[in-house]
Amino acid sequence: MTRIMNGARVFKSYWLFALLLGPLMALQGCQAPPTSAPVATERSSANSGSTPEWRPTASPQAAEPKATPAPLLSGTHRCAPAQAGAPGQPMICVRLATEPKRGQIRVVTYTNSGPGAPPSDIAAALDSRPLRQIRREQLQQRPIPMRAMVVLQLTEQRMPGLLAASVRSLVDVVFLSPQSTMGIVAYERNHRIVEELPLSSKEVVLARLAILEKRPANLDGPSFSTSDAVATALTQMSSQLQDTEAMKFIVAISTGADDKLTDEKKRTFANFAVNAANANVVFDWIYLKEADAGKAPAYVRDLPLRTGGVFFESTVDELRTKTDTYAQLLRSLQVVDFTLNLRRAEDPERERHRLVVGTVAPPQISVPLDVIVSLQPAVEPTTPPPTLANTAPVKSSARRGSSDAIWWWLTGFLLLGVVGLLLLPSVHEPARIAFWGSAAPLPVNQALTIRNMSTHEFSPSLGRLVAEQRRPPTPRPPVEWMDATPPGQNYVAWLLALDTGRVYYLDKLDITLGNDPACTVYINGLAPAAFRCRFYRDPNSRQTAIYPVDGAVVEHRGQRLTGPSYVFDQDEVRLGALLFRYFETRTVL
Amino acid sequence: MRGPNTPNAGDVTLPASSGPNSIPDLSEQVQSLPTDSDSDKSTFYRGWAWLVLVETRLSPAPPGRVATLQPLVKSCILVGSHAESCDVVLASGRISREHAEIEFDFAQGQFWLNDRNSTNGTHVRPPGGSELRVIARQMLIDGCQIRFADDAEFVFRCFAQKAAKP
Repeated sequence: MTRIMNGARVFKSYWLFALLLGPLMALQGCQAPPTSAPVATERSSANSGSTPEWRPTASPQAAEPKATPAPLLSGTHRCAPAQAGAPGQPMICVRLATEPKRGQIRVVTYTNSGPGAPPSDIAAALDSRPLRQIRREQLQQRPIPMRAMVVLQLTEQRMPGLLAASVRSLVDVVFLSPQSTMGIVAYERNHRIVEELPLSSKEVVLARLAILEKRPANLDGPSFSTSDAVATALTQMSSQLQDTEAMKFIVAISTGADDKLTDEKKRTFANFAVNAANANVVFDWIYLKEADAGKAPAYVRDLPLRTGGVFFESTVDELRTKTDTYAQLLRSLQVVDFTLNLRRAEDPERERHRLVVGTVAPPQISVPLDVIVSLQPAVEPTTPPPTLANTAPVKSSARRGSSDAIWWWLTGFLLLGVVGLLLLPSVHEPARIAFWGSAAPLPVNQALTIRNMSTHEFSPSLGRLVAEQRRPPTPRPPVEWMDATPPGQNYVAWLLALDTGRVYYLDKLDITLGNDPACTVYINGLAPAAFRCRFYRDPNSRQTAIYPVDGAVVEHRGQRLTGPSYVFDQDEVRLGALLFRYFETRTVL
Repeated sequence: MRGPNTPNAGDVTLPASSGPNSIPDLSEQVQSLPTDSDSDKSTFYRGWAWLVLVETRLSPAPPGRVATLQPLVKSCILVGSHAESCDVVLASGRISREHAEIEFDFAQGQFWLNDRNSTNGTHVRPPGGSELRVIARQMLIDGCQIRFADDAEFVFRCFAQKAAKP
């Protein structure tokens, strides 16, 4: 009965364990909800703590069929139309860029099933006129607010009119939405920041610009450069409240020449790119250069791209034109229409893709987001450039579908079933013997068993029972041969320790016993301190004499020895705490 | 010289005593032996014995001069020429396969020599006495000489000490 109860208890805990572990394993396999978009997962992993910017209102499954556009997001993307590639080669059909959220979009690869034509879903998405119209109307009614920080590099003289006009054009674009705010960080190269205006309204910005235009040259102060100025701007922007509905960007109009000088500035830029991505801020750069100068350094060009921004190279003469182009880009952001298609890849090995396509209002500006459309035969997707978006690790669990949960359940229950079977006494014991062999059975201590609870009759004491139980014999030979004759002698002598039963043969003419490691024969337990006693065979008298060494307590025939004394056969000798008996026998008759 | 605890041949009743004992408990063997009274159940002896080889014609010779017998390990030590069954192996053609046995009586602390119908006989010479052939069972005392056939002669040394059953 007890065994049945134990088995029931084991099964009870087993099923509880199974019920608890199963959902845990299932949750482990489905960490990424199948209804969430992979881009949103990446975004949340890349920018933890911030509100996910992708807010899909429909699941990828709900986006089927392929050409059905998903609900629009908080309009933050601008796109260029597709460009046809050579047949059989990967075709870059869409380039998308310069906005914080698009920087997190992964490069998607579509495999075209038709001969030489863009996928139907892309074409349908591009021709989704009604959807665009709806979106445009919505945007016109509620323009997207912007949070912009303008970094200006001032000359050592007064602000030139060309630069002031360019900034004013940017102000006009940014404040298309009355909710937009703008800040200014103006610095003198190699000198100091002369203006640090946090995000403010249009009136404040224009007033501060007017002051900047009239300010005299000021050459004192610490050294500043573009990297320091944009870092200051980022700090200003990060200190503001997080506004997920607005587009946040920093635009710098500067040469950045001082930043090319030292590697320290490069490291500053590298930190800035990471901090900007974490703050969900895009950095755009209108890079001023000399007319005869070459291309900007690679790390300068890469900095805006790493944050999802755009990079314009411009001479002073081209500044107004480039600024106008950039302003139009900003303007298009507020009126752009785009569609978001969520579709499941035909290849089950691939992830669900998110495709963003659309058009921008003229003039069209091409900004980088690669959507590669390949023709048959399928071409392996090219490796995406190392951006912040695609370098974010994707959890393997995010690739699993809903069927993986069933797999986890089955695996968990199978594992628990095996464990449960092993817990069964009828299975456990043979398995244990098969794997680990049979151990010696533990003796049942019957003495501790209560025989009768009512009469309190107990079994006999433990010592009695141990004495009654037969124990296996000590694995020691019953006869041990010893050649204990000292060299050249015809006798054998030995000491028998009466307390321990050990026998110590005196197989030498001069032998020292004791608990000191230097002794010839080591005997443990003689005394707490060092103890030595010498047994010496006198060759003349043919008698064995005993010598206590260093005041060792040696008793012979009940008397303590203070000097040497002969010892004879069957004499009792006490060495310290142990009592010995001396034996001596001639080996010749 | 004989110690106070050394049993004599006539010792039958012995007072109980106790002391530290690090050897295996052999109380069950005490109970298995026939005793005269219940008081004897509370005491038993532990003994040590040695066979000191004094003369031999064995070939090959025994591995040592002294054979330490362990009665506590095996109370009956078998002497013979058969290596597989005997504890003391004396390789000789004149020594029977199972020549004799030395037995320790735990109850009385005495060693006994039994001749197992050997062909050439077992002889015992007590100290100060004359040699006699062991017919069936002969008590051994400390210092007596034992001769197995004509090939091996030993001096028997023994010591027994009373121990209390726990």
